[in-house]
Amino acid sequence: MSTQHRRRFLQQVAGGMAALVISPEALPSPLRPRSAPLRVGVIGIGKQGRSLITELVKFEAVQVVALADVRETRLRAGRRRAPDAESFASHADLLDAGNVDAVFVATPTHLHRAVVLDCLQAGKHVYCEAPMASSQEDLQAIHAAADRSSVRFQVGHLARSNPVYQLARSFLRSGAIRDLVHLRAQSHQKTSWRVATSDPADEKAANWKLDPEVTTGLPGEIGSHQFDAVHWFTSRGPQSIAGSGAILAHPDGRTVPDTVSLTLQFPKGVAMQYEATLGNSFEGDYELYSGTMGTLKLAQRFGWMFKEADAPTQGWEVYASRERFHNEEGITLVADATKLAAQGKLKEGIGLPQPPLYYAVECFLKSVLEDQPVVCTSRHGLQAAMVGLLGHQAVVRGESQVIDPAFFED
Amino acid sequence: MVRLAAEAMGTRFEFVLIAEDSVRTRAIGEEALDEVRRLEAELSRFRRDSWTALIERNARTGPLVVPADLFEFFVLCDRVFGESGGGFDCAFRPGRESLADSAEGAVTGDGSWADVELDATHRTVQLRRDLCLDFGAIGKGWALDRAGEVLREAGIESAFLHGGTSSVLAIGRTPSQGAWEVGIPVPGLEGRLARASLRDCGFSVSAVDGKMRGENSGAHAGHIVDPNTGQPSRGARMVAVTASTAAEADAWSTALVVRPDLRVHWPRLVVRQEGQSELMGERVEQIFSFAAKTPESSKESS
Repeated sequence: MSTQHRRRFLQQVAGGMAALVISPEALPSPLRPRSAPLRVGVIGIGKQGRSLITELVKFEAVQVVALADVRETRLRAGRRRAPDAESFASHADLLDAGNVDAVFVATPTHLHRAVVLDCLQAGKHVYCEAPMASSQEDLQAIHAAADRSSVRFQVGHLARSNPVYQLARSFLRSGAIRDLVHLRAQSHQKTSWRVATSDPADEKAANWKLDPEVTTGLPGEIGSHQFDAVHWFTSRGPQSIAGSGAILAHPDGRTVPDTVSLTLQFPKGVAMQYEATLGNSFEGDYELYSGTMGTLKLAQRFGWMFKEADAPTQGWEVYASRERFHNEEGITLVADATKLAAQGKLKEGIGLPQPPLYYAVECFLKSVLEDQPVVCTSRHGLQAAMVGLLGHQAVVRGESQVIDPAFFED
Repeated sequence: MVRLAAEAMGTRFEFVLIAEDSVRTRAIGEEALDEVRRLEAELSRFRRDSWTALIERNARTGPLVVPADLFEFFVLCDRVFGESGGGFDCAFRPGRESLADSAEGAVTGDGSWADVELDATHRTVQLRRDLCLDFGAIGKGWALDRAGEVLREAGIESAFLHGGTSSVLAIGRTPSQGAWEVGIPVPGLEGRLARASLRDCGFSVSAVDGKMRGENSGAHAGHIVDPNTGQPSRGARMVAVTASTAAEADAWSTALVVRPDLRVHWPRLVVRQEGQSELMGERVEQIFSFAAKTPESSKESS
């Protein structure tokens, strides 16, 4: 056997062993072809709504037939991606037209309740962007309506459908990093979170994230995604949340903190630190799971495992891809390792082949078209949003928030 | 005046926006920068989850539907490829690391944009053979145009945008009601700058200098490759182009380094070799004038 063939053979074995040992879930199989496409509408054509359209275009089984937004400029931006879609000035008009089978709701968070309830009432399958709602009452109302509905309802937290996260979770659940000692997550961005409007009358509505009456702040709007990931990975929810925040980067008259820090206390003494800021982009968004035998780092499209020196070595690690981070070396988690190793392309497999949003959309479509289970249910959405909401309240009230452990029981 | 910057497409994008309300203007600028980041995610050949990578993987076996705005981009690439006689080419065969790094071997007929099939009716892209796509010669300009749309739609009437200093979009006039002046260091003419006055147009400079390759075989062989020969371009050492959009300026500045003989409509400065330059274009509306290098012009060109 030549050196090259031997190397390829070993790479294939490495990929195979990785699959065998840690049971990684391969990339999902594509949607089955259909005779007639699923007709979908997108409600709320802001940045997230436009991202949804971009992903929806990738599915042959889907046709984007309707867009709804109160702002014509946004509808125009949506039509640039889906020019065949009909435009509506409200979700009610879109539903009245009766031309859709499913809807994607990407309106401001505090408007989800009204839109989602109308869509469910109209018998439409609903993908609701996360966080699911901005108040406890709205969260309960959406959860109750989704629960008793016969249509599919999925919340747009992305971790549960992300192949890299699924792989990392299988590592964690198989004891690869052993006993959890600490959790950490951050969201760092450099942006004002402001939206410019041409009409001052639209100012309040457009800048809902900065409106103290309706916003759930950084812990709710961004943190809830990461809290859902942690809940899914660990099957634990926090028992208390303490927090602080300040306006450090954008002293432009706002009252909602642009920088926050939370401490979430989990059962068995494990604590989670959460930091979010709009004033610094260093290292972006990630979650860290630290255990007695290693640490998992997850950053949307990428995942790594950092082993403690006394952790046992497995054969496949020798051929795994690695990345250096200052003094640490991380084993790169590759979602479709077996297939790539068979092609001799293990190193090319670093990073997801689709954006995380694609997999969330695909899971929703499979639940609708192929009767697959919903990956992120209204119950998951309720739990994650509540942690975010209470985190925001801990910051603005300066008081620790306590959560009944029964809230996280399935 | 509000100044914003972001790292994207392997370089630094910088926007200077002229407007009264700085808080509102910053918000508009951030939305425009978001557009650049979005396009980087769609077009990058270094991201496995980009549309570029998706097309390379999946459009070989059959037509792939793409978003309407992305299809528009491919139509532009297709048009400039045709009009430039292949001087501008965003496709190459796998095995070569990139257009820029292929200095060895003739590649005529060995994979080009001609192997990309666009269907306007269904908005699909199909590759007739295995291809790698690289939009490095037009992506920055396209991103600046889309960012400019965001700015104009929000009412910004005066702005200067650049990506990596080589791709530019000028909107309206400067605060003193003049044109946006840029200085261009001309290879071989130390201490002198070519100057261009820009107003509501795109602008781009391409030069073969930089990542020098094939130094033994040519005096100014550089990182731009002639797609027709696979060799580093020796057509012109530097080309500066203005056009109605930054994307067209970007694409044509690359094409004209390879094919400086092409007659196209907009004005451009072509520097063929040290000390020699000529102004080309059928409808010359603007002069790239040489000027003595001054501290002010040096600052402008940095």
